[in-house]
Amino acid sequence: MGLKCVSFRRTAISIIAFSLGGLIIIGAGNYRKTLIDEAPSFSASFEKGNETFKEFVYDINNQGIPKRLVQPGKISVSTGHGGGIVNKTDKAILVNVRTEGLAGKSELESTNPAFDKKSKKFVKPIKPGEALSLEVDLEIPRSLLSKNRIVSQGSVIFENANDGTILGTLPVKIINSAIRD
Amino acid sequence: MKNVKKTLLKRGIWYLIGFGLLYAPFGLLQIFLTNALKLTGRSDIHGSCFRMAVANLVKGKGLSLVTTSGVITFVILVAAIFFGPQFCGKLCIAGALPEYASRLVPDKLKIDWQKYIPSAPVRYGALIAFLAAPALGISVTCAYCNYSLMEKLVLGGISWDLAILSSAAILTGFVWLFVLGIFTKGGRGYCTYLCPIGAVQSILHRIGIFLPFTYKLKLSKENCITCGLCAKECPTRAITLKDNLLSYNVHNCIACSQCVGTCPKKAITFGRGKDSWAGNKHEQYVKDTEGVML
Repeated sequence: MGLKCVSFRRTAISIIAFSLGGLIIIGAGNYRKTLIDEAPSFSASFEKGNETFKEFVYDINNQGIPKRLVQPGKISVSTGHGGGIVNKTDKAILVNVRTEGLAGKSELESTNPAFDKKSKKFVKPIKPGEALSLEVDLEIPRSLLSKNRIVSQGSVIFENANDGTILGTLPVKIINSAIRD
Repeated sequence: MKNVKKTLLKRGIWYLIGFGLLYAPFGLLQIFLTNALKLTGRSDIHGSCFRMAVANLVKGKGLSLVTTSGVITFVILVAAIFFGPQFCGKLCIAGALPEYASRLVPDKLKIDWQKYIPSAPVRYGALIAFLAAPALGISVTCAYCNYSLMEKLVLGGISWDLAILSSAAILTGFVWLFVLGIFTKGGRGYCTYLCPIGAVQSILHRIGIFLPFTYKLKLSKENCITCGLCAKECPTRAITLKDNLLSYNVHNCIACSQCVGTCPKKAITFGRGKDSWAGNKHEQYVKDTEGVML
């Protein structure tokens, strides 16, 4: 094979391979776009006290195939990359978070510096105007996921750790829309 | 064989240092930077994120040198010009994990992808798309991050409770650890085909090679006995042996120095001086036709 011919083939293969690399990333990005509902997030704010936030709904049916195969019952009720939960009061609040009525195991996580990873609690108060990020990790048994349309229903409750008053309640509903009532 | 194991062990220690420096639960480098230099940033792998820093740079947000990731990115980029992709070859445990694990898999189960698809153009194509992703309205920076997944796997292993993974993360793990990992010859398929961090460093290393005072892989033709051990051991297939001639593809090299430690005649070194691979016309021809003789 002549050097010219080899050079032409080399260029052609390189162009195809270059395009392939680009297409893989664009394809991956678009696939991610279709799975946007796989990880919904919420945002809220503490203002007057004892507020009920907008219901957080997670649909098992929105999960992608890899998630369904590997860990369909592992779900996150999270503030995501959004604004988080903002303290709109004029006082610093030490927040205590607990879940109520949700099926399976639940565990708190946060990237907020005020959150103690060992005790799984916020150990420093959230100053006025500051926000806290929160992730409530749920582990629902597989057997419950395809039993009923409503898989689990409960709430995440935010309390003032100093006086025990309720700051807000986030209603949480886990559904499987693939199951008809 | 003794040299191979010794080099692997030496490199393994470097990767563990890299893990301690960059990943939670340690994140020693980020902790040092936040405490000593008063920079902002998280103490986990996100605090050293090169991808987010580069994506921000492309978006026109600039490179913030008051954040841990900005400083780490700056150091990696500058080091790549002068010393090659040392981050990949010495500190990146996410790249090392499938490489080391692939050594446990029999060769007959592994695919030599580079025999069919040249990796450098794929990786540069992926890099361009990665950089253009925000303009295209797609997000790939965090969703397909194998570093973040690596950290989750380690932390999950410690607490015996795997973190919540998205479909994109599961897919990343499957490709990074299995398809392009342990079932790929060398185990570095993800690095050589898809990693944007490696791609940026390779470009800078390629430019740096022209400068005589930068560090590069050098071959002593007098000492080389073309035994092919370096080609066999190269995890990224940067060195190949064909028709009794060694060829070197700098775009694939991660400066891991596995070849340097493996060579029984000390014919390969990593040091300053002229690029000794480019001098030989015949070798250059073999280098240029690499990946084309399908």
